[in-house]
Amino acid sequence: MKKPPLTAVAALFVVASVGGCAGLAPPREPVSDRAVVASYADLAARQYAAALADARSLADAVDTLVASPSQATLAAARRAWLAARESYGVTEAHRFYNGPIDGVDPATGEEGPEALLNSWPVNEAHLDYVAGRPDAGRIADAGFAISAEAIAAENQVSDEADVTTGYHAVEFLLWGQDFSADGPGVRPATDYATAPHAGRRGAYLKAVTARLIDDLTYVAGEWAPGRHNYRARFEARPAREALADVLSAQATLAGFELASERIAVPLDSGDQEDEHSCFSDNTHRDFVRNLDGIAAVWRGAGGPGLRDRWPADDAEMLAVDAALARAEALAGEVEDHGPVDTILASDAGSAGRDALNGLSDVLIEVAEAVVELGAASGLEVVIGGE
Amino acid sequence: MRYLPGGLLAAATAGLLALSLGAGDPPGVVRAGGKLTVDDNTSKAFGQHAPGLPVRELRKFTVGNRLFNTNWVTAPASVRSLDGLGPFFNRVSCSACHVRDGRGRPPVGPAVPMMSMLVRLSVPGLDGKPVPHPIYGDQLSDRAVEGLQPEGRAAVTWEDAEPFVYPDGTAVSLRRPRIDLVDLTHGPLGPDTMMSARVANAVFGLGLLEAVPEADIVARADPDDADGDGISGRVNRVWDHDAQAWALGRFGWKANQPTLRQQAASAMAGDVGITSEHFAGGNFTAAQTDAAALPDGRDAEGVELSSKQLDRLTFYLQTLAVPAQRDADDPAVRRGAQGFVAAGCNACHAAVMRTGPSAAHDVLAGQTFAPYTDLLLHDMGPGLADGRPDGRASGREWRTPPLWGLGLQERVSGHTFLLHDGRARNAEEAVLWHGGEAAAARDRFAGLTAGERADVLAFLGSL
Repeated sequence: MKKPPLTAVAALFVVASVGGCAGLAPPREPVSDRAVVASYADLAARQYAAALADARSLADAVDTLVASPSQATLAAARRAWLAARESYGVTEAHRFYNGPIDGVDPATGEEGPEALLNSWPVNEAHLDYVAGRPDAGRIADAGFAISAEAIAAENQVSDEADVTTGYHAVEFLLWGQDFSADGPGVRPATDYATAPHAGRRGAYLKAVTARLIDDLTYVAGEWAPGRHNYRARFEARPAREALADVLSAQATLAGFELASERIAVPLDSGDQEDEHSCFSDNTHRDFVRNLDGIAAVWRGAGGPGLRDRWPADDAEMLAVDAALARAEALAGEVEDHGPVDTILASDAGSAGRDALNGLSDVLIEVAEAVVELGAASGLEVVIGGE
Repeated sequence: MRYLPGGLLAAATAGLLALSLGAGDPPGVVRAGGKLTVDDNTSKAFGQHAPGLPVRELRKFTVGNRLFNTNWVTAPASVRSLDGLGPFFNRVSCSACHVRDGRGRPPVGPAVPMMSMLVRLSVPGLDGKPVPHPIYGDQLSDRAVEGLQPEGRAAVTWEDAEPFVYPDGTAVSLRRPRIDLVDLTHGPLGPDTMMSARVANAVFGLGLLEAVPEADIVARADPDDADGDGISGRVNRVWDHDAQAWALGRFGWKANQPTLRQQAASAMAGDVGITSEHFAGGNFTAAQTDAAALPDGRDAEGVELSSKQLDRLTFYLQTLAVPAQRDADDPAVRRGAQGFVAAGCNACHAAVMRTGPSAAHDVLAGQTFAPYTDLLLHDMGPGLADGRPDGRASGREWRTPPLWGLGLQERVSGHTFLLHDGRARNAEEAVLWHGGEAAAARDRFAGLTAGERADVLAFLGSL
């Protein structure tokens, strides 16, 4: 039969359509809103489960430190804290739309635990001794009965700065105040052995770590599949609405929380220690992991990401791609310049300051691009934040 | 008893019903903060930035927020731009009293220090007009930097007031505080000292209030009660340092501050001891030589809060959003909205205001919003009087407080204490304390059935 030429041409198309040839890849079909939302919910569940697991490891290391305090066990607890921050950092992409982390739970009327988990800055003297005030804080106050409930009940009650619990309270208890432009805090292991109030300090540290686990257990539970929980309600919503919320969260995390709150403010305030993780000097990793979180939501991880909802050649979607890639590159550059307090202590016009300023600007572009994308797609994307 | 003329009542009710509808309503419905409304019922409801703020302006908001939350420290300190606390002060930061941008509360008893409340002081001046106390100034400082004794402290003792008895015989207990100033460290106060204890006000939505044209506020004033409705709203006139002119007072319990910038600067100086351009003298009087001798935190501009820092702080206050009404479609809320109008509450708690065509920031201009205040001074009767005049405000007058956010106060601030000294334990008690010009409205409220009163309270709780 006289087919071969046509068959040859057809074969060429077949080869092209599986992307083997010179740039003739066909357009990828956009994924449905519902599929994107389901994939996102799955991601949130996995990420919170990972954060919970790392918090449990942190608690183990804390138990070891308190049971046998030494430089080695303190160092191990610090490493466990740093590791726990890596898995927590990506979950910040799930804030800002009244999800389980920060919304009001309709069943209990209680608010999500974000403020209890991640508030900063910590009012150090409210917690423990500080330079010049050896008997400061709840730890030295024998009248304060140490328990996870009592500590949480006190969080930011009469002053927003009186943060008593969460990752940064643990951080302060592991590292102490940071007075150096060259390194983090240098709390000695003897603070848990022979120093005044060592016993209470250990008890406080264990209590706040236990509270971290309780709070993360709650949030992970609300995202777990197959239950009557937030996830079930989230997946039952009109997918477009859920999608708009998740996009708003990315825009808020990038443009408000990161660009303004965590970068612009420290750059403008004149305070070298005005950084998120100031005791451990780990803020550069906070930036990287927050961006990793946005990227995971945007590109997907183990399933479709938000971007897959649009055709591959959608201009506004590609603009978000481009801005996010620039932000990731700059976050890496900031990391190269060393801890954030070193950057903050450097003079105006230094390379580190320029990189940090640049990162703030690009994060704003990310936020603007996400809002543009929403507007072009008829989705209500709003930048929130307080 | 006086009721609104029928047509006016119908129109006002329709207006309020339009207001009581929430998001997603037909156009023309007024949202709590106009375009500055946020749907937030969490403890962060009062701290959100205006949604329309361009993302590039967010930096100003967050820096202002940072300043609002700054714990000022004693000078000299390692961070030169953020030192200069005191030497006398009440709290070390704005947010310490205005926690989560919300309202303060009174102490529960005399041994408990004031955490979000302060006591204003004055004495009669030469011409009879009040002036600051010669030693203690116009505010008692109950804290001081290390090495200095605080001026004194306030001990608050709660006493029973005459209970209010509804026509059906139900009684509601009321209480009032007795304020004793004790442990005074710079001599006695003197017998003719006037005192006024006040809790911190919530700070959201203020940019909108600032942007209402003066003429609109004045238009609602009726100082001689020409219309004979028993309500004589008056304006306060106060000195505006930036304008170097007399201006309408809008902010504070007696409307004694003309602009947010001046309100913030005055509070920084009086409450935290932080000097700025027009409040440059330091938070002590000439008699307090112990305080004067201590170091301060003055920087390049010769003050502790720079002009730029004050700009940022003001920007923050101007661009805080207003939380949306909740449960607007609830039948009790709708009935309560009608009751609110029928009782005449909206004569002072005006439901709708508009900002002018231009304002400090684009996002504030041309907004129609629902603060439930006319920003005017009203005589609230002897029961609520503090006896301490302020500008043109008499010892019996108070500025109508806005009612927006009322129902979220418990979530944000953890309590429901209302009125200037927090004596009202809930909204019902607050209403029952209304006297003077408001007595008629209070009586109309009291004359409703128990179910109708509950509806009005439900409406208030939805705000």
